[in-house]
Amino acid sequence: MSIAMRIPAVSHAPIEREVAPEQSERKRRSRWHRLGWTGFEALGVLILLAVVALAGPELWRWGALEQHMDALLQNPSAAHPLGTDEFGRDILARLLLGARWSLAGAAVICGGTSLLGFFIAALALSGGGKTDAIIGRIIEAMMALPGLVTALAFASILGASFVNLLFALIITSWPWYARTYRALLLKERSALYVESAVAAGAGHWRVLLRHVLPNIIGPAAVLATANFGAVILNLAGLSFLGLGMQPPTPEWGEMINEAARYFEDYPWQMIAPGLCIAATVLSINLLGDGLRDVADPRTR
Amino acid sequence: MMAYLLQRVLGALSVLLVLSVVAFGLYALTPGDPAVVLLEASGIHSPPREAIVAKRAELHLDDPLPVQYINWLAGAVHGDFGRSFRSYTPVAELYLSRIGATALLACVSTVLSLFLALPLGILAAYHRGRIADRLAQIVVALGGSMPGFWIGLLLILLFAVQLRWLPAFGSPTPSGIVLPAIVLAVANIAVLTRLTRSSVLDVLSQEFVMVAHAKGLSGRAVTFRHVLRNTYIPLLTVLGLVFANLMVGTAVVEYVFSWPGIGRLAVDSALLRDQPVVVGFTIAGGLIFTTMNLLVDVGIATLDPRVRSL
Repeated sequence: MSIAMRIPAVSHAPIEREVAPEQSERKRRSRWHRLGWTGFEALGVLILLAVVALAGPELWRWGALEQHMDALLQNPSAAHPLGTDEFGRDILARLLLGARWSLAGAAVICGGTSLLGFFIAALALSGGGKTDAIIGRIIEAMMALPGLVTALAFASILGASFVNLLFALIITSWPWYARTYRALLLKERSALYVESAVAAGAGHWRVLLRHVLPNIIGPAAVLATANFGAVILNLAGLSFLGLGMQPPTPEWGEMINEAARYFEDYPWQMIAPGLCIAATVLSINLLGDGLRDVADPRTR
Repeated sequence: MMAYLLQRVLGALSVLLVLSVVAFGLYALTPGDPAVVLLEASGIHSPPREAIVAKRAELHLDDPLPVQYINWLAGAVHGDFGRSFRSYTPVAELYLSRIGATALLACVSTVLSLFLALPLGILAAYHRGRIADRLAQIVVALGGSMPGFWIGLLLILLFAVQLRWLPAFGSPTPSGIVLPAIVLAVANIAVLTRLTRSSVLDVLSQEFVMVAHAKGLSGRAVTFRHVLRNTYIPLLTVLGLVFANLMVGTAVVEYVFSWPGIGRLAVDSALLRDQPVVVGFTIAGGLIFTTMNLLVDVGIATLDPRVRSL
């Protein structure tokens, strides 16, 4: 979907050899050190964000849909720390509930694309050479199409709703996942444990789901994390256009869409959800970089 | 070279075939009766039954889907992508009249991001681990995390509303293009800086650079004649993609700045449920992508003989 995913990873193996031997000895204890400080900090921010998204709307004194007719379009105050919108709804309450929808939406897209990609890759490899070749060509061709544009068309034709937007984004971004999963599955297929499982009489899908899947879950998680930030941005962009979550339910992109009408006089309404998106995506990208270093130190 | 070229062209054709299936599938998914909507768009309100039947026959809507697909494909090859549900204008005409504005914005933005990203990436690679590198990493991290439409709104707020230096509405004039071009450049600067840095680092670690230094060439000669020349190819690949992405990926930013390009046409049509025009955007985007990919492949093969033999 994004350009970043199309760039082949360039390795710097020769440079990494600068590490002194005794140092690498000391650091060999755990490969998690490669997550780095920024990686751990990003993970902390994300855990905090998840807690806030889960508990925040229940704990905060205002509800996201409550309208306060005596407090329309207010600037930040003690009662409403981030101010109120044109219906007198508390912006902070909307941000908190919006976090739920934005994060859950992106998680559903990442999960859905991973599943679809995995099953298509599995299908390609189970069907024999000809099926594999045909599916491979389709994957390549789908990757050469502008995914976001196709998603826009899908979402528009299905009708503007959150669920339809999630569906449109899943249906247009599986090829990247399918290609990676195909490569992962190909590597595992010749592994000894697969041969022994087959020899023990396990069926094709049983080997795939019970034995191979747990072995590729690590790289799969790295891939999904690396893509999560781009998914949040795409979701926010299409929601901002009005193709996603419909008012009055808050979602970060939808909040910017609503706030854009008043942003010249009440910019804070538009700035706050954007800051949330940027901070979330930044944390996820840093975590993704860290996880990639943990999984494969050569790509640093 | 010919064999390589032929292989690339065949690859592009297979992409176009998948594109046609996707585009036709989108048409077929369109809710409602296209015949009624089109008759109303052409000015006939509550059309009589006979007119609808005639229109359905004209559009071949009663044929089985595979037959419809063949007919549609035959029309598409001749540039017939249907008519707008709202204005009854042919879709191809709508896109051709607006593609110039998008191309202008994409060119300006690509050049802008190159001018900023190349020096930053090279500097970061040469000063690996030091301040310039840290700075570049911050630019990369921030540029890749902010939603473009939000940066656009912030820039409008600062430069158009507060300072009144530039117009809030984008237009193909020198002052009107500044803000949208900057917004689109931000994300690309992140991608290009990261790529320049890693490809320069990759080249720097190779033996021929050491040889060039060993035979006594000045640092500048090594940089310009040996190092940078070898970073062209990954850069060119991505540059082609960046440009193609800008041509089709500007929709949200064009919408923010009311830029009269193809992206805004698609978004406006999507919001008004003018499906043929929206599907037209998928086709236009697919054509632009495929053409750019093909051009990049041919360009690289011309520059680097090693690629041709693959």
